[in-house]
Amino acid sequence: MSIIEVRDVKKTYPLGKVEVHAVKGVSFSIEKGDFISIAGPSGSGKSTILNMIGLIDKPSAGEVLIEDRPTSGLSDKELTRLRHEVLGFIFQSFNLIPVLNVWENIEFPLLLGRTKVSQAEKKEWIDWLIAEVGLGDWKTHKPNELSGGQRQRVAIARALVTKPGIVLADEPTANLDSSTGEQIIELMKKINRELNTTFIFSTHDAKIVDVADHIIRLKDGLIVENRRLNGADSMDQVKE
Amino acid sequence: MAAILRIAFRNLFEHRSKSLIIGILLALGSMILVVGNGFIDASRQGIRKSFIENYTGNVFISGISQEGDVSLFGVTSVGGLAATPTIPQFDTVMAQIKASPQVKSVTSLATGFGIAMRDEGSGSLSSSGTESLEDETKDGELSNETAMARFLFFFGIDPRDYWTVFDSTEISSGEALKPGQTGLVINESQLAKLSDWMKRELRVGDKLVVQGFSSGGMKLREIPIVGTYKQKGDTTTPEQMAFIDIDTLRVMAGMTVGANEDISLEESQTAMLATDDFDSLFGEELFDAAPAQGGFDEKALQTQLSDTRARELANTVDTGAWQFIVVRTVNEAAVAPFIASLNKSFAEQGIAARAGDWLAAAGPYGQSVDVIRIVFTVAIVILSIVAVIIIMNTFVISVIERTGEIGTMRAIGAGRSFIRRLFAAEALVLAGTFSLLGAGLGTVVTLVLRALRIKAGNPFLEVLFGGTYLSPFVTPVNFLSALLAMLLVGYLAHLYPVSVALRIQPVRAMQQE
Repeated sequence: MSIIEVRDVKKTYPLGKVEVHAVKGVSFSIEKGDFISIAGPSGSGKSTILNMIGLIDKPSAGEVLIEDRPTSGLSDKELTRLRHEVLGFIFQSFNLIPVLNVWENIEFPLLLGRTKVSQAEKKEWIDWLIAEVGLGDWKTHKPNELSGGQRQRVAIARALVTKPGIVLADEPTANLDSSTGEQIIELMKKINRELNTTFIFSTHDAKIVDVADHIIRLKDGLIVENRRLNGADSMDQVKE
Repeated sequence: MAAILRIAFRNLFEHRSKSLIIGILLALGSMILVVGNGFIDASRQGIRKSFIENYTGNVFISGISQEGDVSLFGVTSVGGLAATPTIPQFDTVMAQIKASPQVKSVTSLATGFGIAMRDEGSGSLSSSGTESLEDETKDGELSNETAMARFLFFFGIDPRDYWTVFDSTEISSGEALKPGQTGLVINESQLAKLSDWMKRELRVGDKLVVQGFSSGGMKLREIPIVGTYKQKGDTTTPEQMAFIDIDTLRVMAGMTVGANEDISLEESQTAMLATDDFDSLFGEELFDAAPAQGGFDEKALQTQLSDTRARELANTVDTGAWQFIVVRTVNEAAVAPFIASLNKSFAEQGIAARAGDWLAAAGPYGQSVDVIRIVFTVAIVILSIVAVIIIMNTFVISVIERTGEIGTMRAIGAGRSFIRRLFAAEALVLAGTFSLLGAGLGTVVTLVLRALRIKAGNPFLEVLFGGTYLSPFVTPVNFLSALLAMLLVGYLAHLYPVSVALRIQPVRAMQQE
């Protein structure tokens, strides 16, 4: 069953008097529990596609379906709710809230939702996530007291706290050294296996791409490769 | 909400320099409000107390003038000296007031103005024995000091009850006016100033030549000084105030029987007065017209001219006339309903009299505090607008700096309402904290100013201070209104920045470096 379906999506940005075609019409689907890499060089359109899947940017044409639900006609409020309930985000620059400590940063998305969680249940879940990302001794530290790798671990825990079906990570290792980057990808992979959460991450690092079990490779706004590494390759769409 | 407040507090602390700029502005505003209002309230309370205890009582009854509002200082009219009306049916009105259980004490009054003149015993006397105001200085201009020394504001009193209604006056030499006695009780400082001006020492028993002026013209009288007075306690009594027997005042103030007569003219007389061709009054036509009505009769003319009844009527002092009744009430809280009931009663009986409170009696003098308050309020409003603009700019800079953070919040599920509440909390926490600090500081400053007992050096400052000493005070209402005003400033200042924040799209989270 597809958890995400991207149908002939295009994205055009105005740049002065010129229009930039960032994504020129791509289609693909992502299954529940996938650990998928969107790869490609800078300017290939991977971040744009991730933004559209993450419902923080709208396609100029085409449709993105999340859990079989079309998203193009949704209001700002509905999109916000969907982002909160279904999606988790990991950013290249970590994007932690500087005034909150590790525990509070992870807790933050829970403060935004309508679902009431008991204090005890919340504490247990956050503590489990903190232990899972290996920051048990850093709970009360502020982001500026953490290393890059530690910050990205906090971001991973924050992305998971609402138990989303999909976690989107935009170049999660770009600001980390290679060893730390590998650890982060390993952590994401581990959680993917344990919680069956779908992870979609963009990267231009060939070593990290190989960890994925589904790779979508982009070039100039078009898919040049769409391949599952666990057996049958699929080329849903390849355009020149 | 607790989480929003926590984030708001921490953000304010994180951006200390900006918070401090905004906070100092808000604290200053709050402090100025507390001190300023404390000052104005003290002034108003001082003037109110002073007026009620010394001149106006709690309730003031006067006649009604078409020219303007009637106060102790006369009629507030545009471009001229309008006659202060006397109270019609005085005995009826007085009887009605005395019958009220609200009344603790009551007396009647009339006021007038005059200037002291040099007499034959003075150091420099002009040939006429009197001189104009312009004689005072070498360059032809009258100095304020000299004018104030000579100027007298007369209270024509009823000695039978005046001294019991207003017991804040202390006779420092001589005696208080007695019923039927002609004379003047003058402020001891004013007497000293007059002595300086006259170049001879004036004492109780001496006579003072006074030129009274009113709408009816000027009257010169020689009045014996029977006593001097000073005020007890901390009050703002003008030194120019002098107590005088009512009969002398009536003469000087033009309170004659004729002044209150309704004289109706025939049509031809009105037409004659209305002429704008003055030459015709002395031309042949006047005499030509006379024979047509039965011939010119010199005898009849003499008879007419020798009839002085009208002139005498115009000059006969109206011995029963009073301009004002002032009442001290038993219960201050019941003053407003008492005034309303009196006015209702006057209207029902067709008596052209009006009851008012001390403010009505104080007239322009009492409104001076309101003028100060209006000026202060306008200044505060202007300062608030400036503060809103500065605070708004600082908030906008803060929003721009936090674009990535706001974008992140939006991306991970924060709705617009969350962002709105977060910024409102930051603005209100900042405004609340610093306005509280400012109001606290303002309270301390007010208490220090009060403890210093700064003395008013001149009559203007006495009015401003509401007494001899500066005695500002802080009321809970002033404290709270300063807090609320600055909370409002903070809230208004955050509205535009929050609209900027709400325009930040979640995708900006991806662009954070």
